[in-house]
Amino acid sequence: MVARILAVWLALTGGAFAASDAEVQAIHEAIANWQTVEARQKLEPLLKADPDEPGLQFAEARLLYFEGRYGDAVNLLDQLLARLGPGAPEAVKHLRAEVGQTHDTLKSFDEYVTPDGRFRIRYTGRDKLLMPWLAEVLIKADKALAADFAWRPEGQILVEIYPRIDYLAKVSSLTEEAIETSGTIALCKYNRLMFTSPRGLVKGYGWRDTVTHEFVHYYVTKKSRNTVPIWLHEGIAKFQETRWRTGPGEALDPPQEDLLARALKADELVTFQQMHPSMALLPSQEAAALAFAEVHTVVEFLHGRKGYAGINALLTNLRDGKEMDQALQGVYGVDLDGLWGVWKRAMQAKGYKEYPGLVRTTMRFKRPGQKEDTELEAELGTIEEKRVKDFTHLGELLRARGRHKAAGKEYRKAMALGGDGNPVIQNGLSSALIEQGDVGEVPELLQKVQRYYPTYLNTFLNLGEAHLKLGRAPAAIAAFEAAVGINPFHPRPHQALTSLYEQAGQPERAKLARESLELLK
Amino acid sequence: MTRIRPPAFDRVRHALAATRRRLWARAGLASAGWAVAALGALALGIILAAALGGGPWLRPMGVALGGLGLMAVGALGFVRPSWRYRQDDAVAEHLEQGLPALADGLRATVQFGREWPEVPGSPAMVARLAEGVADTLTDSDLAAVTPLEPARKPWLLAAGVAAAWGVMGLVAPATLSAGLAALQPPVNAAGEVETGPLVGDLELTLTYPAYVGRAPKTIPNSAGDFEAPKGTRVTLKATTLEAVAGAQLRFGDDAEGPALAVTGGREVSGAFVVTAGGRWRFAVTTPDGDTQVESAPRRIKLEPDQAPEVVLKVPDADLELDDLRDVSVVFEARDDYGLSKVNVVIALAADPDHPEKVGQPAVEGKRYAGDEMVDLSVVQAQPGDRIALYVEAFDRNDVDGPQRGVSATRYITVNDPKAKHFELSERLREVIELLVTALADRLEVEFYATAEDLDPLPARIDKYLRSTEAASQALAAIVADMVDDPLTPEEVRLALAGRLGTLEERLRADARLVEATTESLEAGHKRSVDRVNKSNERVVDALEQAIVLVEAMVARLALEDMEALAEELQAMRSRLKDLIQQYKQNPDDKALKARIMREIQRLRQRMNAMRERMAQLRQKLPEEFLNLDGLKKDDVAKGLEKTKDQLAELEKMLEDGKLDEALAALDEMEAALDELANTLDQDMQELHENTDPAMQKAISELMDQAKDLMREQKAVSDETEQLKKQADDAMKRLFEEDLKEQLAQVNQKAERLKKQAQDVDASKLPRAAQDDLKFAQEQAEALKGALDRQQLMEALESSENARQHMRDVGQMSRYDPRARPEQGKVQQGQQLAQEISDELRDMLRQAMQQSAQSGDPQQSRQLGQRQQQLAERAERLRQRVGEQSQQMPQLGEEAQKRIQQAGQAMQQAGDQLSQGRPSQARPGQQQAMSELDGMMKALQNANKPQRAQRGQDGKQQGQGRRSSREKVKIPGAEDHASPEAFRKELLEVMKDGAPKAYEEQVKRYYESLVE
Repeated sequence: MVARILAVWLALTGGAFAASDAEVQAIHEAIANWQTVEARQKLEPLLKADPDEPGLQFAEARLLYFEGRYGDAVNLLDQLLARLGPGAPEAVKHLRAEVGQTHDTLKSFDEYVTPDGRFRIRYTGRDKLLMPWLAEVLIKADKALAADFAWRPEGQILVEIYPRIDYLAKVSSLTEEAIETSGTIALCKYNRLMFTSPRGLVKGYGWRDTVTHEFVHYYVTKKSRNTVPIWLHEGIAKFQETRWRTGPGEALDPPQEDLLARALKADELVTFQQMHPSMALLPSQEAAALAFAEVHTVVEFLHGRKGYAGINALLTNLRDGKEMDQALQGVYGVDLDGLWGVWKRAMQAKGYKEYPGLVRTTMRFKRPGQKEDTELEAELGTIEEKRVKDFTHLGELLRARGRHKAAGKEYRKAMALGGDGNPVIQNGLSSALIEQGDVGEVPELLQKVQRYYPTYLNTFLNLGEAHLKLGRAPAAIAAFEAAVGINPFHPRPHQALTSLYEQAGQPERAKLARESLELLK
Repeated sequence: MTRIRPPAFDRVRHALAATRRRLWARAGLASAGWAVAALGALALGIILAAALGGGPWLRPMGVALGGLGLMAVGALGFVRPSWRYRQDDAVAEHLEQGLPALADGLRATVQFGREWPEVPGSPAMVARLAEGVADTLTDSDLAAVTPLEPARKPWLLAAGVAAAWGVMGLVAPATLSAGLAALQPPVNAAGEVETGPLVGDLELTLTYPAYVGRAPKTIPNSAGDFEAPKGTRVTLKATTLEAVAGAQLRFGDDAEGPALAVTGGREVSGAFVVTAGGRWRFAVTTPDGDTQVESAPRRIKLEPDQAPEVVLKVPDADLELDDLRDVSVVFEARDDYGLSKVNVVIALAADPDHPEKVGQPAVEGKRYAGDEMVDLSVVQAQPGDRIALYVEAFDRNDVDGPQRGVSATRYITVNDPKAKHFELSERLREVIELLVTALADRLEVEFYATAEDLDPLPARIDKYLRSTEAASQALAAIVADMVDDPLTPEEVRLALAGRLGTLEERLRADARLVEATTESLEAGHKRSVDRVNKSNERVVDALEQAIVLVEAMVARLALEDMEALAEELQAMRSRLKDLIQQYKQNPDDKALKARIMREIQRLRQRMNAMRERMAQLRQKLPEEFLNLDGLKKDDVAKGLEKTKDQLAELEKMLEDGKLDEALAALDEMEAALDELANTLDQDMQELHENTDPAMQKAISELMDQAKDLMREQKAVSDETEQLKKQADDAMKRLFEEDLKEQLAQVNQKAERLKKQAQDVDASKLPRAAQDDLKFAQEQAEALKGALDRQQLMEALESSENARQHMRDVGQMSRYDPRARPEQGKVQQGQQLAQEISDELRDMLRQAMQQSAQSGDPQQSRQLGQRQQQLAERAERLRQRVGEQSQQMPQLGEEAQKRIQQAGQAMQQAGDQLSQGRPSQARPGQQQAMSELDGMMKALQNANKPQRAQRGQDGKQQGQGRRSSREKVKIPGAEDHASPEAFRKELLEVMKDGAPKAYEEQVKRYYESLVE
């Protein structure tokens, strides 16, 4: 990449320039490795000496892009292209197109800077609601990650929130189809965090872990100077994505464990090579989920061996230019094949279990023009057995007509045949019970699906309602906060949390919930 | 005695003369004042009137009034007093009145002066009187007696008028200017002077247009005003009032017009054609070169030509037809000058721009009465179409072109079974609500609760009995109506009927039980409550199954409707393509083009219908069904949108005459429509599979087994082919080496036979033998060809045929003396053919021996064993298909039949192989493969949903079902009391009507839906 950029540089300058090859190469390398502060420090004196130098202007435009200053980058590139005429190098034109598309897509966005000044968040429309909630997660994550990596990236961090996946497609190299197939919802690229708002999905998603996940990528890229292969990158990010809320070593979710257990049993693991160049390019959401489960456990395995010190040493080795085998050998005494082997044996020994009856849930993206409401909607496609599906559907029909008692009976029939692990059935029955005022049974009913499907919104809404009616305020707060963590655009959690926080003597939190509710009106 | 005239008389006379002069002067002064005032006022009035819109006519009027005024003023103000005071007596009287001192002495003196000297009485006294009067007059101020005061008033009035002029001049100078301008002499824009009539003795001759059918008309001494139809030629001649240098006609306000011929300085003539009503005038050029134009125009009134009047008598109102039959049309058309053409016009109401016209024969005269049977298919009308019908008539106007009269339009609607079908589908969807309500009532009933706020148990039970009954009746009515709906697939109707039957049976049992236990229920006897509760559960089960089935069937019907529409679109597209290709050959065929445009309109209409239907489907179906891929991803909507755009482009291309591009666009549309149909097909298949998973599983397993069998059969076949090839190679070697010489000899003989047959002169043979000779010649030719290809069997067949035909020729011509010379040739040919046959038989024997020796008998036997094993597996598979068909008759008989035939073919192939004849085994193997393939196709077909019998373009085919169901009586209000009996009858009829296998199939079908 840097060599290509250098070729552009030579083409632009024609060999007659004040700055040396090495200096320019160092600037471009710094940009490519997201070391924007360093690149700026190197570029400024050169630009001062020769501000009209096309090669330096190109580097400046690229740096502006990586600094998130798209408008400035576009202006500079336009000037440069005007000066160079039709013979301008393709790379310049390409960069202009890329930056231009990003600028056009985001130029109407608003900005929010976190109270500590550490994060500049770009958003549009109703995503304003997310700001305080997001700032809270980012600040917590920053603190935890800085401690884990024993290092903190300098400068302000740019975060962008897109209302739909088509925005993500426009500002990244991914197509909408690839995004939808792989379930990619967020990216860390071009020195910034990019993620789709939970309102861009039909039922939201676990956006807080996702944002942290991307933030980990940011740390790893910067710390390693962009030398870490994708599998390790994703592994560390997956392993660390819960650090904003909990300590290291969070167990796999049941769906991930189930996937991994089945893949280990069938020996159908996704290899490190298949994960390259991006998890988003894996053929299905299921393959991507399996790959994440694998790399999560690889890093968990490495962390188990030598803690964060080992991981940081591995990153340092890679940053210093060592090959992966060499870097691994230096820290863990095994090369990549060796690691694959020992990890696989460790995993097999761990005895991950399958979860029969577990249904595969996939992300459902909203399409342009689709309503932003969050009405409950049965996902009967997740149920395979026809009679179970029929009883569940009858339950839905009856519930939609306000015949909750009858609906409850149908859900119970479905449960009797299909077990208690289906989020649709369990939540349908819970909703029917809540409507009837019979909530005592609900927490127990939802216990399993809460664990199996930690990002299934209805579970937490129903749990929140049940706990609220049972007078269990802390549990209700936890459930509704979890719901906000999946879909903060659903008004009910904010509504409930407003009074719950007040009752719990948390006026600041109550204010936050109230303001969120106001923004939803 | 001469009496001297006293001088006093002269003094008096002078005084009188002076007074007379003053009187005249005063009268003149007053008259002048009146005249000035009157003329001033008149002039102001005229100018103002002119300014307010009066025309130039005001000027002569003003002049006239002014003259009259002056005359009046002169006569009354001046002439009359002057006349009056011409006599001294009058003046004397005037003076006496002004000078009382005179008394009447002045008039006496005047009298005496006239009579002097012959005066009565004393002349001296008279003289004294005269002296006294003269002195008085002398002493008096005679001017005072005749003051000028009376002349002041008119002059004051004149001053007032002058003041009015002054005020107007100050206040409204523009008005005065305008008025003055308007009063200028009439000169037109061209500077021509407008005058009165310029000609006299005007004679007009009107020659009417031919279509009016009227003789020319001459109007002598015309004022120039006339009435004529447009197109009339007017010839005129006239005499000018004065000699002229030239003459013209002027029409309207035109500054120029056609020139007239001038003869002898005053005779003018010319002609013009009436093109519009309006004014016309003469204009002349005087010998001085001035142009004068008549100010008063002459008028042309256009005689109207009315458009034909058409009255449509039959149909006298809009019609609704059950099918596309001919429609009787009775009408009458009239026209004032005559009719030229009458058409009965039919158009699709949605596409009025492309009508079809049925011309009427022998249209002439002013009236035409028509009576026609019109075939609606001329506009390719189809069920559901609304057709506009009217009659148009044209007159014979050849000036402006024929005028068109149109009758009232009647709209004919051809009923479309689809509309009723859609209504039925909608009712079916609505019945879900009733079923769900019934289900909820039953699920929520409290059998054991005794809370005070609850109704008594019998009342609670009655509630669910009633709601279930209502749902059941509604469903029964729909199923009954489906009997007459050709667009509801039989399997849908029967499935619903089956489910309804179960529901009704359980409902009846439930109701009977409730009725029988009412008293104990009221008493709360637990055993009775338990029994009713149990019975309720059975009805709940039936209701649940019914809801699931009805929902699936609603989705199914909607998808099928859309599929039918998609197919219809495709058929229309195909027809459109044919039409455009025809049009390309005949680009001047306007009727064809109109038909094409009509087809495009219809295509557009159908697409709209499909869009609406899809919107309904999306709106009304449960979310579950929208998981169907095509609908979920809006593929169908996108496909329709794409096709709509293509249609718009297509229309434009046709308008622009870009036919090749239009054809290419149709090809593109074909792809889009195919894609659309595929999407719907996939959705339908998906729904079908979701609805009947057990069937899917069974078919999948059978398919897997068939595929395995096929794969292994292919392996055996390939190996057999290898063996056969070995045998063929050996045969080839035989021909090329061992039989080479023998084959060459036979070839020579065949050549001779061919020649021999051709040498026979057919004309000398009897007629009957000529055909045989011809056949023999053909067979000799075929023999040669077969030998060249080394096909001994074929060659033997040909040589045998040739021999037989030669023999027949010989037999038929043996008694014909003319044929005698040819008989020798025929016999030789027959002999030759016999030899060839013998030799070929010998060669074949050798070849078979060689073939038997060349193959590997051991390998062939092994293959035979494997082939036998495959035959046994095929038999087992057949049994399996048979068993499955028992449970799932949807599988049908075809798959079973095909696998059975495959097994038999395998068996035969196995036998041949066991006998070491791989070549003979190959046909059997090929048949086995073909049958296995057929079996798999049959399984695939069985896996597809059955569709309603629709004809091409969405028309239903046949009415067999309808007629077979005629005895089904739909319960009306009068027999509502016994719906159960009706349903029983309905189910019985359905059972009678359905084949036995199908009956079971239906039962299994709906069972599978809920199991």
